[in-house]
Parts: sequence; C-alpha cells; structure tokens
Amino acid sequence: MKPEDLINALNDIDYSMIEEAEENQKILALKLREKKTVLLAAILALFLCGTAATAGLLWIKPDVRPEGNSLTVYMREGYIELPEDKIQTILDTRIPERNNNCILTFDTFAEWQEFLDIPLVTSELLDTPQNINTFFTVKAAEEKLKLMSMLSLTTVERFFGEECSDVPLWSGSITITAAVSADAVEREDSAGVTDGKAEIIEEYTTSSGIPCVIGKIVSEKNAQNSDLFLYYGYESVMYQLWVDTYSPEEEAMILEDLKVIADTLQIVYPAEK
Amino acid sequence: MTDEKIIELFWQRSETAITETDRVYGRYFRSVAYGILWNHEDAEETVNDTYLKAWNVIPPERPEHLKAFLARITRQLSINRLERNTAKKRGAGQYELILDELAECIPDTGEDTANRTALHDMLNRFLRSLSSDSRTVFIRRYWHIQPVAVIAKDCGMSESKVKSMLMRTRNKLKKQLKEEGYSI
Repeated sequence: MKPEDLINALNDIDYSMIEEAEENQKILALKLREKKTVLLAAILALFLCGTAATAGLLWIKPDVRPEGNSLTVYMREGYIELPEDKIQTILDTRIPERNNNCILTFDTFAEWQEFLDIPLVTSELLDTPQNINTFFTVKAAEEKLKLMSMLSLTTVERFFGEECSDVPLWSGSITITAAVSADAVEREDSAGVTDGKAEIIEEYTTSSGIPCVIGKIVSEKNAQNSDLFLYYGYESVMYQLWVDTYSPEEEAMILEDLKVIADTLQIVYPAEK
Repeated sequence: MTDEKIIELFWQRSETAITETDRVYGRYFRSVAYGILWNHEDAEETVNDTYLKAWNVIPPERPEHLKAFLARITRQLSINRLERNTAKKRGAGQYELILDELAECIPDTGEDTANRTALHDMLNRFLRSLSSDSRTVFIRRYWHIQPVAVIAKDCGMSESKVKSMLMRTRNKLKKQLKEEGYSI
C-alpha cells in the first residue's frame, strides 16, 4: 500500500466526521478566543445584483423575511447585463488548456468596477490597493459558448485592531449571475438554514444613511448558540455578514460590533444616484 | 435553495444549478480547495472544475448529500492539482510532507493498490475510535491537507502538541492496519 492510497481512501470516509471535525474546530477556536473582547470570526459574503442603469431599484432597503428556520432575502432584477465589449474581452481571454476559463486579475477594486461598469460595494477597511489581490474567473458555457454563468471573487481577508489581528474581518466571495436568462427577474437567497427559528431583531439606518437589517436564528439544539445576520445596503448592492455566537453575552457583544462594522462600511454609488 | 431543488436543476440541465450550488456552497468549496492548494487562482479553478464535473455526472448521479458529494470532488481535484504542481516544483509542498509522514507508518511496498472500499471502511472505524480532538486534528491534516502551523493556530494548540497528537494517531493507525492484515 502507498501513502497515496490512504489519502485517496480518506476521500470516502463518512462525511459526518468531516462536519463534526469542522464543528469541533470551531469550539476549539472559541476556547482560544474566550479571553478576547473583540469580534469573533466573521464571514462576510457580498452580493451584487441589479444594474447601475436600473433606476429606482438601487435604493430599496433589503427585503429580508424570516421564514421558518431561515432568513430569505428577496431581490428583484438579480442579474447583471455585462457590456458587450467586456464580453468580447472575456471570450478573447479564454484559455483552452484551462477548460476555457478566463482569468482576469485586477489590482484594485476600482479597476474591477471600471471593467464591469457596475456599481461596486466597497469598504474603507478594504481600501488598501497594495494589499488587495482580487480576481475572478469566468466560466464559459462549453456546449453553447454563450457567455458565462458565473463570476466569482476570491477570498479577501482583512484584519482590524491589534487585539484580533488573527481574525479575518471577512472571508467571503462575490457571486454575480451574469446575463444568460433575460426572464429571470426575481430571485431569492436563503441564508442560515439551521435547526432554529429565524427572526428579524433590528432594522435601522446607519449614521451614513444606509439601511441595515439584522436577523437572528437561535439553535434549537443549544439555546446558547445563535447565528446573527447583518444585511447592509440596498437590495441591488448588499453586504451580508454572518457571525456564529456561542453565548448570550457574546451575542450581545457581536451585535454591537456588527453595528460598528456597518458604520465603517461604505457603498460607492453610481454617479447617477 | 434546498439540495433537492438544486439537484433537480442539474437534472433539468439548467445552468442555474451551477449558480445556486455556488451560492449555497461555493464559499465552503473554496475554503476546502484553498486549504489544500494555498493559491487563490488554483482554488478558484478547482471549484469551477468541481462544478463542471458535477454538471457531467448529475445526471445520472443523484447524490443524497450534495455538499458531501461535491466536497469530495473538490478535495480530489485539489489533490490532483497539487500533485501536478508538486511535479512542476511549485506549491506549498504540504502534500509531499504529508506523504512522508504517512510513509512512516505505511511504507510504499510496491504492492498492488489497496482495496479502497475495505480501506475506507477501516478508516471510518479507526477515526470513530479517536477522541474528538484527535480526530479533528487528523482530519484537518490528512483530509484538508493543512499545515501543522495552521491547525495549531485554528485549534488553539501549540505546534508541538499538534505534531505529538498526529504522531500518536499515526502510530495507532499503523497498529490497526497491521492487525487488519494490510502490508506494512
């Protein structure tokens, strides 16, 4: 037997053990951070949808509804029409040897925004061009060669504050569904489907005038545990921030931290607002 | 969207299946791929390749647990890519280190490849016999192919403790493999 056999055989082990290991690692990590009075690990997923030209849509607050054990965001016009010249650029950049993937690298969010010609959510905390290394891949539909089904932005990690320098502010991704279906005018996105009941706990406007909705799902298995969800922005340009909490005290602390984060974020508006 | 609905989209050959899969599980698959590859471009491509493979195998497959099904594909594709990268002398080198570690208890005898089904049954039993923490560390090292330093940091342990736990677990594994008749 070779070591590779063992590595390969591990691929088939009962997946529940992988999930248990991930859960246990979270618990171990929590123990590590118990003494810290700062925000716990957060995962920030950023969703962009809509188009800059869709006047009137951009300024509607997130339509978040608790539905059973999940929070669902309803978004209209959840598709982006990519400009024709950019489509051609992408098609011209495909690499046949790499499954026709097209990899475009941008040094700054501004370049990314300029390329896509869409409004882009950004953050003061992310406004450090020399540290930003973003790129997204475009997958061309192989059979029909019509343009792409997906753009995705890779993980961006940022740190804030010395006390939690080892905690990423976010580790998320942007997924943009590009125009392959003109009749797709409404979509919904459910988050945090767990075993508990979802509820909206706060809706407010930040000091910079951006609407915010905070939801929560408490675990039925362990009432000490809950997931907090911050939806920040407008239905077509939105941050979604999700944080696990493991005690009521921690939940209260993170709730306050979420508000601080919301106040530090910016949205770069399209010029025609 | 539920797994059932996503799988149904695959069966309908709707490209929305890929979009929805990425929306629900993309972040997780990227973390699995990046944990192994330590390269964002490679990880992103691997996740895209995972979706392509899913597109090609569903149908006829109808996985009961979509996340597990695709996570295994992501891991295997990541390892394949890591092997190619290692051959080209690039990459983090973790895979070679891990093979060396496992070779200590499973030297390459040049014999035929082990019966994979029997081996994974044995691994299931073996892993379940471990303590929760030992299993977590073992899985992170040999399933997620993560560096010892990262495991130590994430689990709040010293590197020496992680190494010690891994060593003990490998020794137990060696013993169990021997007891069950594997050539070592």
